[in-house]
Amino acid sequence: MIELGEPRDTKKTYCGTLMKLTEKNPNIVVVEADLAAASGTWDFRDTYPERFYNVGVAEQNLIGFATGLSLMGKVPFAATFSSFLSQRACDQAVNSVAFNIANVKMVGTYAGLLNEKNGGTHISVEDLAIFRSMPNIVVIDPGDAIEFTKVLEFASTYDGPVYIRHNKGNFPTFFKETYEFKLGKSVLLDDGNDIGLITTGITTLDAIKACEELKSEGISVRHVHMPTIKPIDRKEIVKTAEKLNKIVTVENHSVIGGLGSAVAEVLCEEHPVKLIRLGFQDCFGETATADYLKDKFGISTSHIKKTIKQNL
Amino acid sequence: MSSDIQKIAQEIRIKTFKAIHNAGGGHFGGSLSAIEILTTLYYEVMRYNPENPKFTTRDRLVLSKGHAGPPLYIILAEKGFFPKEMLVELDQNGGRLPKHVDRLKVPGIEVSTGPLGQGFSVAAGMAAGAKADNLNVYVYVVLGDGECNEGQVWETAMNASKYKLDNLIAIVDRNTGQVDGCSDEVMCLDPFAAKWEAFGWHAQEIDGHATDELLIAFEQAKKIKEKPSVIIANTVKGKGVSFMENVYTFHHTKITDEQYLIGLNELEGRWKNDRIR
Repeated sequence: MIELGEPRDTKKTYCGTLMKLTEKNPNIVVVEADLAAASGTWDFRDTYPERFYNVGVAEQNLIGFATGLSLMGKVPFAATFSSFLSQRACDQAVNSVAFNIANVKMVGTYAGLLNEKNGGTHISVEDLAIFRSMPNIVVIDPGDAIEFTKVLEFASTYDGPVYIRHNKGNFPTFFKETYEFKLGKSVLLDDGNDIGLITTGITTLDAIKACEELKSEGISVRHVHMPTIKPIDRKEIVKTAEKLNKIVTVENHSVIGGLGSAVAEVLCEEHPVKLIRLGFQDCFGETATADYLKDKFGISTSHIKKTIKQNL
Repeated sequence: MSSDIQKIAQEIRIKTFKAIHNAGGGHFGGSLSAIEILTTLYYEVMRYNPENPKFTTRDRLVLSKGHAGPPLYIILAEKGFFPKEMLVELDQNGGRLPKHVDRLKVPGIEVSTGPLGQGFSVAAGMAAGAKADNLNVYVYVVLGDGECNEGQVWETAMNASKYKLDNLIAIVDRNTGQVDGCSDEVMCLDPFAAKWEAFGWHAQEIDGHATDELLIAFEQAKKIKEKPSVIIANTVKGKGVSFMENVYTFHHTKITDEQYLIGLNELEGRWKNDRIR
């Protein structure tokens, strides 16, 4: 049984971690586009004004400017809503960051349905797909605040472009402080025998709850948490497929181009088994609370349970 | 000194014309208009060292109009950043000199550019980075005037002004032509200098083919404190080749061998323009 820790706020985690990191490495700078309130970096701004840039509501320049800072040896963490970052600054992410292999950390806030009541225009169902298609960029969707911290630490020392999802909210943790994040490595949370389950980002917590409930009904799930969407952990996907002939993926994103697609690509190439992909089924989000959206778009605990039971 | 640079610039122009034709065509118009700007920067203004191209306090050049790679490549080769023999690889399959400048392939290129407007943002970020570390570094960025249609240019203009990037010097190659026509018709930029001033920049307007005017403008720009500087360099698209001058269809094109000979003879001063007109 996975013991859950006290809820932790993602914005505080982001700001607190960057403040710690910049104490050790003064080259770490924060770049915002008038959404520091969303990423949570006001304390950073007030404590390190000389390491904080706000370019205004200008996402293209956000990423271009961050690229320039990186080429002078800075380690910029540039954030805005994941929908804006992946769409409005897509060209800059491709051509300024990825093409130059610039050391820019792009942080997509309010990822997926966590943009809740801002509605369909602000809910990013395609950011993972967009960033995954860019050469030279690694793509990470952390599961909890502890992993988020470790991912930020990793990103600050990794020399190259990174896209990280910043999952707004106050969620219980499921990792211990001793957890070590490794790029491209998944985490086996439960080694069950009835069906494979691969989850990423905030869906892992709901999936943990689903697995616990299924366990009490005598169903055991091999549950893999997959924080790195690119490079994907091929070995673990194949291992799960070799052991079990059905796999369910869950993501806070469209089933097109994100985790489900990445898993499908590996399975088709290496070990085909039946795959059921939970996530936005080629549709936009809408104005509503996160819980409502999880339910409506089929990634809530009850949907994960139901899907697993239907596919045993 | 300036007359020497003027002469060198003409040599670079001839080499550029040859290189683009030998590559099977390319961006004649905007390459030929930018020659004096780039030559003045590399032969008189900028601090750099081909022997130690990455030294921290070098000045940076960002060619935001990344399609004007050929004259920059020629200058970099002349200055010893890479062997001149490499120039034949321009635009060739498997070659090391791509049409749009690429920092990962070409020694001396600071930023890969191509999609317009992006290099300007990156240059501003570099200037901010230099300022944060109190580095005595100037960042020069060359833009096209068509490029100034891009919203990102004006996002950057605001931002550079906000952060008082007086170590950022932009030069607009104002050749008044772009892919689909005269820039007044495609997207009017006037009043151009006033626009920059309204965005908080120090603006100068000069003849972008007169190296002495360029030199004075760079000196003046360096004296401006607390705000970024732009030099609007009025140029002629396709400068030096009579049938190309101010003809927008020569933005990117191939030319015939006959046209090549006419152009070369004009550039090398053997024919006068009126003889072929």
